[in-house]
Amino acid sequence: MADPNLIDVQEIAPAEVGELDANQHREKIYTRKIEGFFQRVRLYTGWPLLLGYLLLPWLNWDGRQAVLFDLPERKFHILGLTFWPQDFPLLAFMLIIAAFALFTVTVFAGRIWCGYTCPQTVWTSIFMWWEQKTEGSRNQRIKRDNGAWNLDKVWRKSLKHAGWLFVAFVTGMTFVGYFYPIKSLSLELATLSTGLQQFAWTVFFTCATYINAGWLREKVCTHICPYARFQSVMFDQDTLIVSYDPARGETRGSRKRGADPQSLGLGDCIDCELCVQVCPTGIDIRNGLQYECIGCALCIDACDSVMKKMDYQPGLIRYTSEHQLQGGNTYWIRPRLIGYLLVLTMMSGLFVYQLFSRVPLELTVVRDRGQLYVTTDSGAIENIYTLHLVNMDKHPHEFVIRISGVENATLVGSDNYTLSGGEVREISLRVRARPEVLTVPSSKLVFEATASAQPSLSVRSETRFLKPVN
Amino acid sequence: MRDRYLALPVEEIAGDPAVRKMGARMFGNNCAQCHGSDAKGSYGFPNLTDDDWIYGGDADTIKATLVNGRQAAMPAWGSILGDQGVLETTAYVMSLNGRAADAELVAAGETHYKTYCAACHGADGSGNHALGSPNLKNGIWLYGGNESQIAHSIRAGRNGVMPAFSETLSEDKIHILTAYVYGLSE
Repeated sequence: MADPNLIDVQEIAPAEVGELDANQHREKIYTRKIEGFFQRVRLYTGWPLLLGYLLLPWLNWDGRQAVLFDLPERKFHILGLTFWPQDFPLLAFMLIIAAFALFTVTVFAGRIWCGYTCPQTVWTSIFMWWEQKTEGSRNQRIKRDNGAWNLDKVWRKSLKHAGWLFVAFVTGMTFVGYFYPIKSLSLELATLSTGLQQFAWTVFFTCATYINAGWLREKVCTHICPYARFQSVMFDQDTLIVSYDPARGETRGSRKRGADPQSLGLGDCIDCELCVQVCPTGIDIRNGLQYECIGCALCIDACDSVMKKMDYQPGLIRYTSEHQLQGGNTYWIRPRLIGYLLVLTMMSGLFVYQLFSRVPLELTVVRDRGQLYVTTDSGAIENIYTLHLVNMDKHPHEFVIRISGVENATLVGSDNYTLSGGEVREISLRVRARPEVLTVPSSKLVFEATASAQPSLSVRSETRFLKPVN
Repeated sequence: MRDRYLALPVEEIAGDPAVRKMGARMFGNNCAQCHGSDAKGSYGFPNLTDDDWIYGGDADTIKATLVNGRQAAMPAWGSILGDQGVLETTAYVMSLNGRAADAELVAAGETHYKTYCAACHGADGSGNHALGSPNLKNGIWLYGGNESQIAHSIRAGRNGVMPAFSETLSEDKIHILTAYVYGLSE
């Protein structure tokens, strides 16, 4: 008789746990070349961005490089505007706007950024294109990689890497060209007379581009890029995603051309695996939405080309939403999208306002620390100040310094200074006042610098004026 | 970069914008504490922007002042002159720069002046750069120019100190600082 106080021992078999491969050692991805509507769209979005990146540093504006982030001078030129470190909040604003633009687009249309415009994708595409040119098609590459080393293999691989390195070098040099005048940089690099900094950074960005687009490729998207992972929180059931339509495609299976799938008990998917072969991240889109999918729509083009050959309707793999896949409709306008749009509009408005209302002038006043005050022969009290006047405008201005706040106070020294565009001037000045008219030992004193020809160009700075206690 | 300037005479580089910029920074760090960041001085610390120099305003003298410092030694005359003597001498010194004073006191003061003061400040009161004795006639007063302040200087003496910078600053820095100070009064 079993003891009622004891629970029967039961044998439990451990559940089957798959081996976890932390390094995700997967087979090398050989992508098949595909053409189609979305690849043309990618071409039209990628080229202008690429050309913009490459050509922008070569443009001139007002006798200087149009876009130049001059770190040693701490001046950041973007076309007609020059930003100073003081304008840093504007950069923060811009990044917030960029983030919200990304959120808005992602909620609406999924990973458009990843698939069409992200530099990682664009450069990887360029590298893949060159790979096709030098090493041939997917099958040829697989065959050659598995085959023995011979002159042909060495020659083609060398040509591939040389081409990659060339593109990487142009990319790296252009990047450095945003921080160091590109015309001198290219000349210096050509004559090998460049400074160590410029040289080192060019080499760094060349290597980074080469490694990123040549070797890392999809691993950046799947393992490194944080955006790839956190975007899923922005997806909802109405977000446009690249998806396979299982209701239409299943049961998948090969068949003869012209055979009636219904009589064979098959869906529209002929299981040709073209969608897998073209995928730059090496996934099977038929397994549903996966974080690796960068939304490049290569599989759509691949599948559509097959559907056309089979005389089936295109769109077995297509841009769709979860609602639509479930047989419903996509709700384009939804609160989350409106919310993001609203914030985006607000931030952009604020940014534009900030950008055009900023006064390109700065005044900082520092009291001399050596003495609290100076008593003159005539019994007047003087305080010494150092004014830090920064003309952030690109034009020269004549500035008039005025003081207020202390009764009968006068400036000792010139009140008139002409600063060239972008000049920083330190001005030592004394302010003289009669001690009798001051009731407290420390009074508020306001310095004001105003451009004499442009009264709106004016800033104030507050400091203290001290006198003896008795 | 500063070495480049060391080879050039002070008078030549005093107007160089780069020198003025460097000099202004060194002045702010080393000199402004006493002389003020505008170099116009204050009580006990001379104005470096005017034409009046206690030890001389030529480049070599300014450099010597910076390198070795200065130790002023105006003796205290109170015990020798007595209260009345100080009063009389003060009246005479005030008359030297054209201020009204009692004629009798001035006459008595002149005698004291010739006995005790003229050796350093000169018979006419125009001072002596070699000794660092200030000019008493130009209305510029290091320790104040009203009657009680002058009387105090005579009675108690003055011992102004300018520190030597040879240990603090390198030769090239002193050269640039000299050029900066030299340029202030130009």
